[in-house]
Amino acid sequence: MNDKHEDKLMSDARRLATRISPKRDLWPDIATAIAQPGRSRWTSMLAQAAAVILLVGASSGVTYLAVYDDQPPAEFMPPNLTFEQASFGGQYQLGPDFQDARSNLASKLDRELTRLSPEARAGVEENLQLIRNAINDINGALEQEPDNALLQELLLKTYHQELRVMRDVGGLTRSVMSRNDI
Amino acid sequence: MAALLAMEPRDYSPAMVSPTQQATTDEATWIARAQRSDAQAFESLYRAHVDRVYGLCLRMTGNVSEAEDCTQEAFIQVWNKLAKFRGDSSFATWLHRIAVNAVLGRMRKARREQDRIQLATEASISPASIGDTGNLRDLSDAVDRLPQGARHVFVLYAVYGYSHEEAGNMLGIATGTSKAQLHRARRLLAQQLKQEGFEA
Amino acid sequence: MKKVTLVFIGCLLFSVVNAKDVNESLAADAKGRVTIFNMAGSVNVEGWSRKDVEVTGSLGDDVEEFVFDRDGDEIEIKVKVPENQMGRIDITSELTIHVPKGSSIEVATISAEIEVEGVLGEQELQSVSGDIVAQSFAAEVVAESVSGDIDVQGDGKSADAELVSVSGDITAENLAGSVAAESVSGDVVVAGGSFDRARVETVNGEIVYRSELRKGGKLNVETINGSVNIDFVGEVSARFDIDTFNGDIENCFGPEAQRTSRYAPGLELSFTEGAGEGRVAISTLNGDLTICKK
Repeated sequence: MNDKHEDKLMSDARRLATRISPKRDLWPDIATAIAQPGRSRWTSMLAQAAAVILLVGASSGVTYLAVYDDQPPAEFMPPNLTFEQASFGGQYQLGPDFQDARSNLASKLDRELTRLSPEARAGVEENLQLIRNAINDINGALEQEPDNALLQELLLKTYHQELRVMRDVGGLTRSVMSRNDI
Repeated sequence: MAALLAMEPRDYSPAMVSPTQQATTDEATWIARAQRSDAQAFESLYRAHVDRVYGLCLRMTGNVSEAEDCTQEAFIQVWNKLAKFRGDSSFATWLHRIAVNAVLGRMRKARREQDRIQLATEASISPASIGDTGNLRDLSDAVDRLPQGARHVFVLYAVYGYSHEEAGNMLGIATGTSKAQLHRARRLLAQQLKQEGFEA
Repeated sequence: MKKVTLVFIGCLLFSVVNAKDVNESLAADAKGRVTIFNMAGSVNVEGWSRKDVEVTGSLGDDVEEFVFDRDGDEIEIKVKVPENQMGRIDITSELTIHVPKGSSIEVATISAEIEVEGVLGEQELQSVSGDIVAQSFAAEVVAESVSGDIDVQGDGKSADAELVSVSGDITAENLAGSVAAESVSGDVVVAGGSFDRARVETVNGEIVYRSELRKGGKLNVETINGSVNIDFVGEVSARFDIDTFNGDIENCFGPEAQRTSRYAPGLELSFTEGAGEGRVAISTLNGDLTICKK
């Protein structure tokens, strides 16, 4: 290696611009994010995940989540995980769209669960509790490591699992029961 | 650090070029106010540091939209963690550490994804060379094309002037690894530039 | 002639007394669709080479109606109980249903167990708490349960399988092509298969993958607390990306895991085995991971 060559390399490197102005003003988004008291909008790290689609079923008005691993999504809405400042540390919650979908599923599930046997119902509730414990564990870890991409991905997946269980149990029960109605 | 700043051929920042006595006092005031949730004070901090943070993100990611996101995330994180900043390191260094963390987080995430078409298409243009002219543009392009690990170390050490220990800290790697990555970067860059007829 | 009539009437009377037994059959399409609903008890479906659907077995007391209808190429079999009796697990009906082997079937039960053999068409099998046992050939199998276990045996021919449970265990053996298996607290075992796409997810359940990953294939494994044991069958040519927050990683392929960051727990491991044509991605929060090759 030519030493002179390398010295030039390093001195040129030092002359590379270290300050580069972004093409657009990034402040407004930041201002919005920090403006809400105790809330911070986690932008595109997860938005770019492109792993979750939120669709609204036309006929039944049911909102459901599907996960596509390798198929390009037909319609894409970024999954919107918001960072809530709780009293002791932070918590990641699903954003408002997801909260709506979740409440919707939760109330449908409640109705369907009443039609199951007590054992079946207890089993479902136990598993949902398992999932919620997992969500708490991950949030606990995220408190220390808010930037940890693995934790964020697992959290989103676990939220999805919860919604899937609510959807599947509600849907399964409903569709199985409905065959008896006709 | 001050010497490096003084050597820059171009300064895109509307704010201060080099830390003066006054500027340091201003910054301390802004930090104190921002810690008490004063968003305007935080904006001043933002304006003072955004170009350097964006430059860092851009050179480390080699991608404009990634760099924009990473910059925003970094400042949002800073806002959230401001209470923890004790002033034992410089604010700029602390800020850069958070920015580097944001970059690494994104890259880890991107590696796991199956569909990276978006990143792949965006990375085809070399955006970091926006800040450089002439020969430096060639170097800048070549840096963008370095493999990830070597590029990160080269950017922090050679462009931003951090020591191997500091770079290692920020990247979560050992000092020795940082040195090895720099060595690799230099070798690859020298090869690349020689191929392009770079004059020694 | 009179004699015959008398005997005939005698037979009719006899069958009325045993009203709970079922023994009926309808002509059917060779590749038609058969849908079956039974609340509790069992549903046993077997493919055969006749072009008939035959139902035999017994219906529970208080069964309101037994439906067995044909509409074009679709046959419907339904054991109906009064609406307010839904969920009464003692109203059990045991059904054995023979269908043309080219049929596609849809079976739904609440607690009745489902067992399917020799059906070559698509299968959609749903139960709330019944176990599901099925054989997969070259057509898609979708099996869903809340607490029932799911056990699908393949013959090595490529098809899609989607196996979902909340607390049931899932066993998928000798499948091929693509498989997606998800459980919250059940364990998942994918053995003896050969896949282009395999996705396995649990929250707490253990995951065992003891199959081949084809060239260019993708394996995705995610669990929060479960342990993961991967034993590739045959050669592997893939890029590996493995992450765990609190778990350990034992990698038979050589490269060792690195700490993700100096300041926090977390191990990551990225390496390429062979020509790196496929993709293996594994993420866990607390689970321990073992990745090996047979």
